[in-house]
Amino acid sequence: MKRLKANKRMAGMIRNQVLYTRAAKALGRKVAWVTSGSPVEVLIANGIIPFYPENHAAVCTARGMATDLVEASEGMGYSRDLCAYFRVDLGSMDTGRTPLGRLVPPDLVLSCNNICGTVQNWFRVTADRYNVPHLFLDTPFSDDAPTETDIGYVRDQLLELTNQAALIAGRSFSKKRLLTVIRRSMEGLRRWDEVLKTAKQRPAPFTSFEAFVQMAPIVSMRGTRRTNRHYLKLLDELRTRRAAGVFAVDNEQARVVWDNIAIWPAHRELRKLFQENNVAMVADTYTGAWSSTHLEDDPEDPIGGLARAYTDIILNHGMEHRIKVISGLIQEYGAQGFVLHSNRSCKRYSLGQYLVEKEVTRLTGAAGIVIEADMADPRNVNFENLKQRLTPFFEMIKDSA
Amino acid sequence: MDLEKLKNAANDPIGALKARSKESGRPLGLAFSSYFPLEVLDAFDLEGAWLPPVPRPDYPDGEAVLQAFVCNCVRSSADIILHGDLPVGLVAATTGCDSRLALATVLRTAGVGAPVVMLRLPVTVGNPLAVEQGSRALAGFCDETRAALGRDLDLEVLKKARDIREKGRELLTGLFENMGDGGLPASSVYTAAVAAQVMDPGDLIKALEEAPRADKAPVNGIRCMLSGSSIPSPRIVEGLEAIGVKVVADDTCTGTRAACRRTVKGVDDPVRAIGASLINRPLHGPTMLEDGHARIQQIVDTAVRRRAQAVIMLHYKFCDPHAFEAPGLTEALERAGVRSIVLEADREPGLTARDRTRVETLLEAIG
Repeated sequence: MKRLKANKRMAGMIRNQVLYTRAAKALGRKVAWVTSGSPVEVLIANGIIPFYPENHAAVCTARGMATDLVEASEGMGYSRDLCAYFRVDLGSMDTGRTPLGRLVPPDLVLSCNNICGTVQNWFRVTADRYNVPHLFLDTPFSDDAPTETDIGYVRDQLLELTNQAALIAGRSFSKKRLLTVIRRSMEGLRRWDEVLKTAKQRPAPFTSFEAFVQMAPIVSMRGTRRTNRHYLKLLDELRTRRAAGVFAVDNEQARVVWDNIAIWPAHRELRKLFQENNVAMVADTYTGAWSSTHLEDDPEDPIGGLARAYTDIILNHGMEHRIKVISGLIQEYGAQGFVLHSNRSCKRYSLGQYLVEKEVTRLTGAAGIVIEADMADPRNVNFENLKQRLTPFFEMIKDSA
Repeated sequence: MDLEKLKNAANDPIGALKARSKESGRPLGLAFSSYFPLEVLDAFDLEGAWLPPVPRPDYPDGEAVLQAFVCNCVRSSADIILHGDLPVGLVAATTGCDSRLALATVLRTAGVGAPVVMLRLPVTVGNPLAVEQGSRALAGFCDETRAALGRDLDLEVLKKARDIREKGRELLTGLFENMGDGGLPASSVYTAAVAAQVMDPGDLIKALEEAPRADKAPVNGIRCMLSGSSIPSPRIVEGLEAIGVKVVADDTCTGTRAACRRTVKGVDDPVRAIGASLINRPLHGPTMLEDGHARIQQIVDTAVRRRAQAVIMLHYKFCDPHAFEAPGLTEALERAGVRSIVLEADREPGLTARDRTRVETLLEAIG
C-alpha cells in the first residue's frame, strides 16, 4: 500500500510540537511529562504543555534506538523484566539520545494508573531525576463500569490536581477555558473514531498498522485544533483513496482484530507479512481506547465528566470486559480471527490472554492466536518465530472467510 | 514459643489450611495480599488466611492460564486455587500490582468454584481522600461478599476477630523488633510469620505465647536486614544463617509489613475503622505511592538503627514494584554506608547455589 500523505504531515506535527515546546518553555511556559491516560485537559487549560514519554519510547523504538537505550537503563540497575517503554525512556534521559533532537525537561510530571501500575513508579523515577513535583491521579480498577463512589474519589483528586496545576502555572483556574479544551478533545476523539471506523469498509482502506502510527496526535496533542484538522484531512485522504480503489491490503481475503500495543521492533515486517498474506488487521483494543473515551462537556461540572471518562478506560477493567470488547470488535468489523500479542513489557495488558483466547472463540466462533513478543525491547522479538506462528493461522482463517 | 507447631504450619501451609478447615467444618476465605484484613473473612464465617507462595518446580494449573512473565506469588496462588483440592469458600483478591489485578480476573474467568471478590484499595497513602476511599473500598467488598455468599457479616464476630488478629500481629511485631539481639534467631521468627498466614488466630497466639524460648540467636554472623517481597519458606532464612548472616531487621511483606497494621478502637463502625487502618498503617509496600521517599527512608533508618551492615533485598522475579524500587534503595543505602544485594527468588524454597555464593562474597567484603 502506498504510504498515507498523513504520515508525512504527522511527522511534521511531532517535530513542530517539539520545537513549539522548546520555544514556549523559553518564554516561561511550563512543561509536563504525562502518561497517555492522563487528563491533559486540566493542564492545557492552565497553559501547561504536555509531553508523552510513552510516545517518545515508541518513536525511539521505531527508529531502531531501543536496544542501546534499554541497556543503558539496565546498567543503572533496572531489571530487564520491567516495561521496555520505561527502560527506553530512562535510557534516553540518561544518555541524552533521542530522535527528537533534544527533549525539554519537565516542570512537573503527571501520571494516572488507569493504564497500568507501572506508570506510578516510572513517573516517580522521572520526577526524582528532574527534581520536579509528581502529580498522581488514582483511578480505581473495576471489573466493568466504575461505581459512583469511585467517580467521586477521582473527581475529588482532580479538583486538587487542577488547583495544583494552576498554582504551578501561575494562573487561576478557569472553568470556561477547561470547557473549551474539553470540547476540542471531544471533537478530536470523534474524528479519531471516524478514522478507525473506516476499516469497517470492505476492503478496508485503513488498518490498525496505520492506526498505531496515526494515533500519535490523539494521544499527545489531544485538545488542540491542529489534531482535529489533521484527522479531518486524514478522513478526506481515506475517502479519496477508497474512491480511487486504493486499499490497505491488496486482494483482502481475511480480517483480524488485534489485542495489545504494537510490536514496534517488527512493525514494518509484520505489516508486510499481513499484506503478503492478504489479511487486514481491521481493529484493535489499543488505538480504540481513545475513540471510546467518553468525555462530557458538562458546563456545571466539567471535572466530574473528566473523572468519569478517565476512570472508564479499557485497561482499568477486568478480563471479562476485554472479552466483551474483543468479541464486539470481531462482530462489528466482520473479522474471522484475532491475534493476542502477549507483550512481555505489559503485564496489565497481557496476563490471562490464554483465557481471553478461549472465551472469545467460544463466544464468537472466531479463531484466535497468542503470539509472544514485546512492544519495545527488540531482544524479546523474533520476527521469524512470529512469521512461523502467524502464517498457518492466516491460512486457517482465510479458509473460514 | 511452640516452635514445632509453627514449623508444621510453615513447612506445609496447604496441609495446615486443609486441617484447619476440616477441624472447624468451615470453608476457607483466602486472600493473597498482606493488605487484606483477615478478620473480615472470619466474620463471614470463613477460615480467613493469606495464601503464601508455595515454591515448586512447576505449576501445571497456574501455567495453563498465566504467562511465564508473572511472579511466583501469583503463579503459585493461581495454581493452588485452580488445582481445586482446597475447600475454598471465598477468594478475596486485592488490587495492588498489575499481576495481582490479573490474578483475580483470571480466577474468575477460569471458573474457580468459589466467589472471587476484589478489595479495590487506593494506591496513594498519606492523604485523607485515600483513607476515606480505603474505608469505602472495604465496605464495598463486604457488600459484594454478602451478595456472593448470601449471608451477612457478623459485626460481633468482626470485633472479636479484629482484636485477636491484632494481638497476633503485635506479638509478631515484638518478635521482629528483638530478632537476633537477645530475641529469637531470624529463622524462628520467620517460621512464626509464615505460619501466621495460615494458622487459626487463636492457635497462633497460644503458640507464640508458649514458654520457654529454647532457641539462641547465632552469635558471630554479619548483621543484615532482610527487605522485599513475601518469604516463600523459612528455609531461605535458614540458608542465610547457615552461611553467616545474622538477620537483625526486617522489611518484608511476610514480616513487619504484614504485622504493622493497627486499628483504632472504640469507633462505632468497625468496617470503617479497619478500612482506614489499611491505608494508615505505618509501613507500606512499594505498590503504594507515598509522598516523597517515605518508604526508602524508613528502610534506611531501620537498617541504621539496628546496626545492619548490609540489606538483603529478596525479590521475586517479575515483581515490578520491588524491581522499580531496588536502584533507588541501593543508592540511599550506599549514602548511609550500608551495603546491599538483590536476590531474585522464583520457584526455589531456599537459597540457590548462585545466591549463596553472591551472599558469601558480600559477607567476605564486609569482613
